[in-house]
Amino acid sequence: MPNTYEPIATTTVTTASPAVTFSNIPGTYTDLILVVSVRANSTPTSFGTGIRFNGDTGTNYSRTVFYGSGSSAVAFSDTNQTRFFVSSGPTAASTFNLIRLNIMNYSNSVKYKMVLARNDDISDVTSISAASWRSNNAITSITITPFDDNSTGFATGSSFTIYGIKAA
Amino acid sequence: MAVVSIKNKLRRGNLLVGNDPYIPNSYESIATVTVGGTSQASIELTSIPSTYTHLQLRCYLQADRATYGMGEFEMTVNGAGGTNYSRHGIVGYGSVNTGYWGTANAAYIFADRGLGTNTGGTYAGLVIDILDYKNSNKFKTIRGIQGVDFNGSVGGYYGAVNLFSGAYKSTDTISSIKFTSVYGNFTQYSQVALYGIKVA
Repeated sequence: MPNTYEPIATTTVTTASPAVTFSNIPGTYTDLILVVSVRANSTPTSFGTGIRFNGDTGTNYSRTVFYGSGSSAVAFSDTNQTRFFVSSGPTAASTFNLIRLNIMNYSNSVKYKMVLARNDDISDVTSISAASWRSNNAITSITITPFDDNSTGFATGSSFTIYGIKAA
Repeated sequence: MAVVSIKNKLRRGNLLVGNDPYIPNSYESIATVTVGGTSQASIELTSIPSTYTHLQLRCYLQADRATYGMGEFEMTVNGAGGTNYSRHGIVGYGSVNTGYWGTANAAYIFADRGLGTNTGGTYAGLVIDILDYKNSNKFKTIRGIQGVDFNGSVGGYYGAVNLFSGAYKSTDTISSIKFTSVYGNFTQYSQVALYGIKVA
């Protein structure tokens, strides 16, 4: 049987970037996996990464999160968000945040979309989250945006790769 | 660091920043079951070939359960019941975070909040690894991530996200896997896709 785990596109930031967008994502796979390694271009006191699908800025995103930070474990949920806020951190120098998203059944046009995410930031937090995008539209583009209090964008060396997995 | 195989003249990267995309050496689709227009109580994959090293299940599941946004389901292997399954996990839902465990279960019971429902309007996602599934010297280890979210709470249940592991306490090769919904049936478009991973 053929290999069904294929890289679709990859981007590595060479100059500080305010956002990265993958567009024209083919609808020929079953699931997508997005692997992101990021940090802010400066050293902000807070930093995070947000995901939007198909450029949708409406309040159509929600998430359930479980994370550990220091000696604490915390769970919470967010409703009616304008993006899927994946993670906080990192703020320490030279550390990158590794995010892995499973975007399940992304190309169906009859169901809401479901995302499983794991975020690993050695300087701050490890988390898992489940998110839904309340749209029946097939996902054809993904925009990844930094949120930091200095608004300086993703740092050089931040990388973004999207893979497709096709079921038999 | 990227790795070059002199024997096969293949170049492979890993997931570290700055490397080329990582391409698994072998990740092949074995079989997929998608529920049609009639909901069904279980989803089963049979005649799993023993030509791989590890298995991965990628699932997208919903049950037709009234009132509640959350359902439950179980997994059995090779038709085995008895006390052949154990599990540990951590789960977050609403503002609650906790752990759970079991040592002698009749099925691999996913977290109490493991399934989406048509009442909640969303599907659960799961990615499950079964390691060394054909090794006749080992009990089989199962691990995975699961989550479901439906924009708050429905029927008093919030979305949930789990990290879990467990064991099928048998040295038998795994040749079939069955998912059973505890409350209601699996709805249309629910899907279980099975993949095989080989090592060099």
